[in-house]
Amino acid sequence: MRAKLAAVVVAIGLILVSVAVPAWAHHSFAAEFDANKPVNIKGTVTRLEWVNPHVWIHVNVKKPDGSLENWAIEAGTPNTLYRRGITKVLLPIGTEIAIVGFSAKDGSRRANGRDMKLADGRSLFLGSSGTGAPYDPKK
Amino acid sequence: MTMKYRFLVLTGAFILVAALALVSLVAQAPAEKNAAKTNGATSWTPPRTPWGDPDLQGIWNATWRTPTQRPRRGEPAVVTDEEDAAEAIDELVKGYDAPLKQGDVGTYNAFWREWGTVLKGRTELIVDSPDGRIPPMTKEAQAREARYPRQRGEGGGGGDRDSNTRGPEDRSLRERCLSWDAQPYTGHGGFPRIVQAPGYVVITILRIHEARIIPLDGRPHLPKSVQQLNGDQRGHWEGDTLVVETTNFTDKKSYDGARENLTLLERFTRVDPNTINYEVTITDPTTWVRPWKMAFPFRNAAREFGPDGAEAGITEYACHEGNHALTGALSGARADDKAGLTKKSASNAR
Repeated sequence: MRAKLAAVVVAIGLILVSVAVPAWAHHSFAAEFDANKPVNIKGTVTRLEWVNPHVWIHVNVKKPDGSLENWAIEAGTPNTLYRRGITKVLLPIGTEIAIVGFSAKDGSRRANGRDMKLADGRSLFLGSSGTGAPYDPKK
Repeated sequence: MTMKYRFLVLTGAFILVAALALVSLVAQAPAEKNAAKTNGATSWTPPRTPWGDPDLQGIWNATWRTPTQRPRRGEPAVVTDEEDAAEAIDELVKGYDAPLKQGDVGTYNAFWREWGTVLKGRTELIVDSPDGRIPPMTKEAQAREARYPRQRGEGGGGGDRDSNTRGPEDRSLRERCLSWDAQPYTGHGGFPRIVQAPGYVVITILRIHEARIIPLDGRPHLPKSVQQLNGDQRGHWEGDTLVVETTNFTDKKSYDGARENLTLLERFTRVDPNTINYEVTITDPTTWVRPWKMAFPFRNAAREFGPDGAEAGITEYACHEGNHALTGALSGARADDKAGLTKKSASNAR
């Protein structure tokens, strides 16, 4: 059973990479973001662009000197997020959020958001498929 | 043929036809319960529009995790069972809790991807190929595509710095919010919305919200000199099946290497309230050594997402207005120029 599961996991992984990237790359990440510039951002949500082709989450980050810096984080499409149980209701203005991602090549304060955590420790956009979203595969 | 022999043959044929009719009549009642099973041959009758056409209207979900073509020998098998798929996803997304892999911007969180569901019992969407794969390209097509610079966003994105983007023309039509794929229902295109009017069927998809307007009045195709981003559609009914032929594509768009000589022949058959069986035959003798065919169902999206779901899951795709990614790609390319990282290659601008 273990071996079968491992094979299936690899299969899914390869499928997601081999099938999803060409179809999914309606833009190319490497054109915009730098694989050598990972970034950790902690801040509060100031604005949401809940739009296609990508949701953008704007975050105020407090710098050591106390000043504020605004970052724009690229997320998935509203439709995919909806199917994961995520709507903009979950990220009201002022929500504290921690983001791990890759920053933009051009040095601007933009990043491709990969993992996001809320202040209560909940991992948003990440982790088990069992988020209870309407479309998640049943366990 | 002698008279007597002819009589026997005709009588035999008559008996055979009568027997078949009787069998199909008897089979009709239980077959209705299993109408979804047979591709294109069903005893469930779709409701009619007020003007009498079969009603295919609604928002349909055509996303499937099952790939277009079978993996090559030696590559891992495709999951064909829903239960295994759910477990596999759980295992996969656990892995995404791991730290970012520096140097690999393609580690885009699986959360963002359209997982779709597994097309039960199927290892690929292609149905007519002995090896389950897209047929080989002709030598002509290989030479043509080698000369034809592939736009950066046409597959393979995420591997390198993806530079030498001189301008928007070096990005794919998808990235520029201009046009989706020629065959739009696989991958992320997959939420067709079908609307009907007397003499027309219109199909829009989620991404870039292009509308394919299909006249049913038998008018001829446009002249070959007129090329359109989504080709030129002509439709007719064969029984309860909508048959659509699309020609007049443009070379500005590539469908796996096929361009202006591409022809699509599609069949849409609603086999139960929640399923449309879809087939597409893809032909381009200047690109592939033979035509190839995919078949997969469309699912009723409203039913999947709940009473409000079909609208809540299908948001407006006002693509240009939200397209920060394109300006990001352009300024990223200029940053690469400054850093001396730009790779030289042919421009796609024409």
